[in-house]
Amino acid sequence: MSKKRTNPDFVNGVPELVVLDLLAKRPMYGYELVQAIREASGGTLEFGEGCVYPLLHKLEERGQLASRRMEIGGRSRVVYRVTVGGRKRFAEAAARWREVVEGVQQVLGGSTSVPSRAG
Amino acid sequence: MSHPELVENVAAGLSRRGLPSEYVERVQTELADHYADLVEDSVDAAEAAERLGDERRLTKRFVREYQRRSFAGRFPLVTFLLGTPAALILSWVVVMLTVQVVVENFLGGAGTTVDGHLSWLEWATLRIQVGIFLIVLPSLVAVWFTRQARRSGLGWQWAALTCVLMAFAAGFFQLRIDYDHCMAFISTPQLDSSWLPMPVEWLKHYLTTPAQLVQWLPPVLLGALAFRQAREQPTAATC
Repeated sequence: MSKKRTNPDFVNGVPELVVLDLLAKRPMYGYELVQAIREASGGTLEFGEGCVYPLLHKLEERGQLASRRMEIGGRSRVVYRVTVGGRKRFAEAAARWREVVEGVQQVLGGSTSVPSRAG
Repeated sequence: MSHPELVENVAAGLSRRGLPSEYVERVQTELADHYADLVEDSVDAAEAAERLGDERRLTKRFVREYQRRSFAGRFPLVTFLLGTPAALILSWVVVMLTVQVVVENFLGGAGTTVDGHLSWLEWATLRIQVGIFLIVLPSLVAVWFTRQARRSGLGWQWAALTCVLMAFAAGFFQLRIDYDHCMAFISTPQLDSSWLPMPVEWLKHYLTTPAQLVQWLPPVLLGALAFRQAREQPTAATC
């Protein structure tokens, strides 16, 4: 199997954030969710598509997602939706993520300005 | 619809690791549906399997995710190496206090001899106590912890550790009744430095009498049985 489809450098906490964000917009089943991640990230986030299921199960176990088996397109699917707890968790994680991004941007901005001043 | 080999192999891997069949079925269904969706979207079979991910990595992730659901799965060393002896000691203390209260208040202090002979009640009380302490409790602890190991998706090694610890504890003590002097002795091996490193002596201790075998075998056998049975039973942790 190729390693191209997995992304071990996927930053900690980011998969949860992405999944909660997309499922907060509308309930989806696994395949739909993977397509939505690909579309929303413009193909930047690549991973073994099956890896989305352990994550969904984990979030469901934590009470941040709820699942229901539904008939869609003639097939029975497990559809996931975000719970109230999940929305709360998403709000916290998103705020934290923005702080981290801001911090990283400041660091990168600082480091890139040093050589330009020296130069 | 037939499942692709990858899905079958992941499901087989999860079953081998002792994950409950309900959960394995769910994983199998979701992965098979995902695969079918990929194929419906005109992705060829090999590419679809590749997009699902590496089989070993997937199995590992499902197992790890499942293990994280329980304390035993997250901290197996603490649970099985420290938790098992602690649970046995706690159960001994609780039962000892209970027996004390029952004997003193309801049986009129049957545990003490007053006429120089062991009465049937004294003898029975002593035997029952020893049976509870050295057979029933270690076996119950072994059964409970091996079931936890199985339900947490942990390997047989953790269940075996529990059984060995309980067998060791149960067989460690030897009951001897001195009928001439109406006394009961609980003896243990002499743990001096010259004795400790002698495995033959240890072995002898555990195989000295049939009673010794009766003490340490049940935790091993019942623990192993519970480990096997727990696999097929649905758990609260399943989806």
